[in-house]
Amino acid sequence: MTVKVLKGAKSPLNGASHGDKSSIKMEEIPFTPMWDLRVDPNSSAFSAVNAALGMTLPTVVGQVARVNATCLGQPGYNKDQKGIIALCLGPDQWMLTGTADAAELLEHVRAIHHISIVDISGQRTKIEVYGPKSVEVLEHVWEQDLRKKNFGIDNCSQGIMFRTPVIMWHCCTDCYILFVRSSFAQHLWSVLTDATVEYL
Amino acid sequence: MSKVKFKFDGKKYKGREGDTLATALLRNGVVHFTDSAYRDRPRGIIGLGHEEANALVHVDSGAGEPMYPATVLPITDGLVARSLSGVGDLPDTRDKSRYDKKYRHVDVVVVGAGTAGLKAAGEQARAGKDVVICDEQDRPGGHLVHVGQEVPADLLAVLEMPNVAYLPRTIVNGLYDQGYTVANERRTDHIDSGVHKKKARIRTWHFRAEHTILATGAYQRHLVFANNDLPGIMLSHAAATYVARDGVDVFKTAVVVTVDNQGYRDAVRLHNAGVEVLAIADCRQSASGPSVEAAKALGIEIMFGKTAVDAGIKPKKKTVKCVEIGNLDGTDSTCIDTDLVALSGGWTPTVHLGTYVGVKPKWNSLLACFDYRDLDNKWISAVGMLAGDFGGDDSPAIFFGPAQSETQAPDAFVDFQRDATLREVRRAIGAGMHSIEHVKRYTAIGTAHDQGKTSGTITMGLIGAALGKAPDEIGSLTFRAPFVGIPFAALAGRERGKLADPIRRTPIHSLHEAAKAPMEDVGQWKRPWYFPTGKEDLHAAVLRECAAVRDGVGVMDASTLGKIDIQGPDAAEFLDRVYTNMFSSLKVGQSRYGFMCGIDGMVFDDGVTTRLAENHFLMTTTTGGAAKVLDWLEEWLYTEWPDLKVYCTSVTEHISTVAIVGPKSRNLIAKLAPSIDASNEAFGFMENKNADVAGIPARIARISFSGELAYEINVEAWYGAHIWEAVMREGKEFGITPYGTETMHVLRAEKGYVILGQDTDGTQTPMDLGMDWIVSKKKDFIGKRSFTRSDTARAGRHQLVGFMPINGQEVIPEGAYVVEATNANQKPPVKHVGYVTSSYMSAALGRSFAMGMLANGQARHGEEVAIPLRGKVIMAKVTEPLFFDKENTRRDG
Repeated sequence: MTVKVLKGAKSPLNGASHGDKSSIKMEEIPFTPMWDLRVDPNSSAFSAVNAALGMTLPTVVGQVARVNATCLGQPGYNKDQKGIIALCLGPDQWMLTGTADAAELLEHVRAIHHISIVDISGQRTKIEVYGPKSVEVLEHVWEQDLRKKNFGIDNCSQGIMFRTPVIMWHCCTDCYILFVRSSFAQHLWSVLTDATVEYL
Repeated sequence: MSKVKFKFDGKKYKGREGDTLATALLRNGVVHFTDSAYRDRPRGIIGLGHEEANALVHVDSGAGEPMYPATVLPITDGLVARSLSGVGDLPDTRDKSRYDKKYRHVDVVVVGAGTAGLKAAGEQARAGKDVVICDEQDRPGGHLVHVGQEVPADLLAVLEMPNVAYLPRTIVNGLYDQGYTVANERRTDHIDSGVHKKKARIRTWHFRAEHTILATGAYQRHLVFANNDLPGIMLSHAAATYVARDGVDVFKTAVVVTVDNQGYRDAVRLHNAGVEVLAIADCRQSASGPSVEAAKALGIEIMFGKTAVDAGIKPKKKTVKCVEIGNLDGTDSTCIDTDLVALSGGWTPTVHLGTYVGVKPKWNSLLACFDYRDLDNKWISAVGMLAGDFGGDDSPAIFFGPAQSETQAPDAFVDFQRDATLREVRRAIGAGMHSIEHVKRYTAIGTAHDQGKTSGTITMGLIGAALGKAPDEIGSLTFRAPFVGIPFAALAGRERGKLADPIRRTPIHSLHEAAKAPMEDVGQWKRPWYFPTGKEDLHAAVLRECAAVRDGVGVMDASTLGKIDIQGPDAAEFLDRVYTNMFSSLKVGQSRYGFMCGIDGMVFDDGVTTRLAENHFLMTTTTGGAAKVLDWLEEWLYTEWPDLKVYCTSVTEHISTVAIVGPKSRNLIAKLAPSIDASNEAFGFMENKNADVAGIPARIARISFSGELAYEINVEAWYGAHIWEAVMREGKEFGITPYGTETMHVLRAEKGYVILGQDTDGTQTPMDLGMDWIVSKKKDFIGKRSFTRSDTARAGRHQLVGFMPINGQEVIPEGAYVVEATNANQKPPVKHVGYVTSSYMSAALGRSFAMGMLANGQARHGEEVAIPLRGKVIMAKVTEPLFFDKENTRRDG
């Protein structure tokens, strides 16, 4: 089962897009399901979670693992896959996203074990930043190291971007995903579009 | 070479593309540039770069520049500049240029693209490092650019390497710990003098480097003698460069005064460019080396053991007329008439960046300077002149100027920009100061825009000479970032105007904007303040909104409240510990209002928490307190109670909340959610029901912050606007009235409900607020122990009360002080006994009312107090803090 979007839904940026993919392009990917998962990695609950999700959650903060969730345009991509992406945000905290219903998959684990799985789909929205100038643009707004050796594909990081809390995931070549708090989304969008001025 | 037209001090000039303003003006014969700040003495250009101590200009064209050295200002067509006498002024026009920032992490930052910098960068790049080279000049080569030599091809090739980024016109202004380097790149001033809106004029770079290589070179210094500040007296390297490289031909004759062989090299350059070099006065008794031989071969007269002791002025042109050359003790001097006096007082390596991070330079007696030779630092290295590698045959004397009489000293300048002379240095020492830092502050030397780039070492030398101490006993000045002045706009970057601070928006925000509701700032949130109809002002709108809620039904966006999902087998126990009241007794599906205290027993946050399931709660916090409360909960779980099995997750923005409030809200909720029984029996106060509202699954809670019958509809954020629209549509028949924060404030105040942060300031216990009922006696909780502290438990503390103005048409200003009625008309100082925290005009009461804190207030109900204001006194009666529906009859509709 996938997470349903009902009639009347409105995303913080109304699916906005900006730019040109030959240089820098940004789009909101609205209504992206997200969950906050909390579990002790040294507990029996952890292996139960891994088994239920069909993957091994990364235990190093800043790493991303995924199952059946190849990026669009990459070899192995399948639009019908029900995949999960897990971003390790803290020693016992993951953000799950993807097309599968992670809460449903973990329901039986939650009944037995001490874990927390909370739907936070509305808490943030997803902005995709891609194109050959993506790093150049992000350098204007992000203080963290974007060098491939330190922030390669399937690395993630949390930080403040122009006074806005953001989770960033380097998902594939020249493509970065920003998960931004919904109430800040319009502010960040203004900041990001402004940062592209010299590259479009 | 194309001609560039520009204006300086109101006159039109022509220059060459690539010229600095200093070059172009010298070529046009402008030797007397400006007058000094304090003593109005005529001054000329003395330097070649940022060491310039005299030639400051204000740029009026383009983006403008309030104070900038002419020696580094590129001229472009249409440039308009005027000279400054030390004092700048900020333009009151708005700077429309774009400024931005970039953050980059690299392996190595090299500061300076001179020979040494390029060499070092090449080594690092060949070793596979990512290198950024920042250089203040517009082309690579450093010193080679000054002397007009080609940069060797192997060094130029470094700039083309794929792992090397070269940033010309980029001056490093700050160096901080952990390889944090801040640089400013000037990106448009050299192109034209227009305003660029798409290309940032100045980019502030923030680098993080594993290694920083300083190749900052050196600035030449002058010599201290009487009238050494006259226009036409320049640093020899600058003078020779203007003449030999740029073709400045205003000087027919020159006298070079030197302490090293650099003076000889510059004499040769001047001679070869057609200037008659009348003499080289060298303070040393002898000199040797290729530079000396070259000067000798040209037949230039060399006077050993001699230096400049005084100079004379051409009264009309206000430029130097002659220089007196004499012995080092000032005796036996002779006058030589000359257009130019070129001073070579030795090189001062640019140690600034190193001193910013506390790396002390060492005195080098062979080179008469402080430098970073043999620097042993794990993340900074120094190369080139900064490391004591002068690459020539300089052999300077440690000499800063001849003996000067008491009449000469007041005109023997150390810091030109500050008009500080040898007299001031002597006075400082006479007053007992020995430290260079004290002398600096006493004389103001080194405190101007140039931070003593030329005068610092000289001051050290003069103090040493006066005290009979060696230079390393005096030490170098401590410098501070920035290395050169930076416009505030460059520091702000894009963080100005709308991008300066985020506006947080609820999912319903755009509908409030469409309704033309003025917004109130609540933290970073914008919340609708009131919803005016027609030409209503705040007062009229709030009275109407309040009446609508009390008599009909109102709707308000409550989405900004902080929300925390709390779950785990110990969740109830955890809440019992953090709240003053009991939550483990709460039934599933019910909500309870709670108070949290800090460890000091003072109220810290409040909100309603709902038990969604046995081990699952949803906490709400104040709008401003959401992040603070989550941090607080996590801190206790991680540091004090790691044994509790509880997880907390912020869902503030996942849930949107629409509150419908008023006696008709039951009819409206029944219509919106037909699947539920909305009767008071089936859906009681503080109960929750799940139901579809307008096709969206919602949790409906019977919670009231107004004393009225009320329901909160909670849905996933995506549907917040949809629900608001449904409420407005379906509520029409009941006269639905949207209301804002002001009405919310009035309604809650009428019921005496406090707003934490407005009625409290972190110094109130629940008992001070008259809310003893919320403090459990059966359990322990955070802050409980502090209630027995003597000051917390004492009688007579400030306590929450109502203030009813005797004249019900007067509204007391919030924040006003309260005094005893007997002191109503006493002139200040008057002892105050309380203050007003909330004050409104009430539609329901038909009069004004207020709440606030009053010493021993709970025992003083019925008494009269005074609120003295400017020009009048409001008398008010003290009451309990509850004004409307005291029997709570309206809550259930």
